[in-house]
Amino acid sequence: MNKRAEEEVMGTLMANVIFVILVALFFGGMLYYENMQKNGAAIWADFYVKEIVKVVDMANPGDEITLNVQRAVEIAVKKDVAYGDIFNFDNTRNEICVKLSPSRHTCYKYFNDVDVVGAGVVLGVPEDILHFKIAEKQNKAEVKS
Amino acid sequence: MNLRAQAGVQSTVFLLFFSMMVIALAIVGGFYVFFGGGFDFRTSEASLLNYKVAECIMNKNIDFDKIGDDFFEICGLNKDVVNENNEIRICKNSPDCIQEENPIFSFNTANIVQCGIIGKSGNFPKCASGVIEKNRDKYTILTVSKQNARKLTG
Repeated sequence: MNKRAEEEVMGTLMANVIFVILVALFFGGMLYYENMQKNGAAIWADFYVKEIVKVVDMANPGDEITLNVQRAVEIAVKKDVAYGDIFNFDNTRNEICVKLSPSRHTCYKYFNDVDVVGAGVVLGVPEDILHFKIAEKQNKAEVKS
Repeated sequence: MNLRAQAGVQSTVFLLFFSMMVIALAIVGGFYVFFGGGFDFRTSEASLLNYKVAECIMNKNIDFDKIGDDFFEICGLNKDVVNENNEIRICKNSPDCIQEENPIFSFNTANIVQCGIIGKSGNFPKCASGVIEKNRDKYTILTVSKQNARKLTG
């Protein structure tokens, strides 16, 4: 094969390789997006984190809060997320994170200068609930539910 | 490859990318139509902050001439979070708090002027306005929320 023909074959080959990589990236991206959105996990995580932040922003030290989180737990279970990882309260950053799919957290900050303590998911009473207490700010380390 | 063949390959590539775009738009659009566009919490957050500040002014004796950053501690607000995501402006006996040159308390108010143009765009920070009366003085409280949820992978 002469040099020109060789260059042409290499060029075609490279173009095809790039093309296949782009197609694979596209379908990979679409599958990832579809997986993220399955069961509305992203939307529900967004909803739950903001509702919990709303409650914490309105709360006063000493309050005990119980929220129905049945839908969140159902989605998390379908996505193999451990109960202890669903709701995450970071008192140092005043931030709450909700994880309803294995690779994604949705986080939101609360302006109320309080700590969230004793957070935990209680299953089947008769529905799944999230229970936590509001305490005076003490710059505590991260508390997991 | 001759020019005609090259044009054929290029048009196939274009068609494929176009169909990929259509597929992507259909998938994203389908999810959007089914689940909705998310939950905008900023208006609620601005209202909550407004309520907290109003409650604080009503229940605590705050000397706005001296208060400075103690305001956050007295009102039970986290200064770092407010600095990052919110804005507060308080005016006393002012007919227009947005344009007021001497508010009694002002914190991080770069976007507060946009409170006058609410509804122009969904991307603007969201505002809440409240008026309370204490000791015959009228306090106007403007609060802004510009916080969006943080999505973390991993």
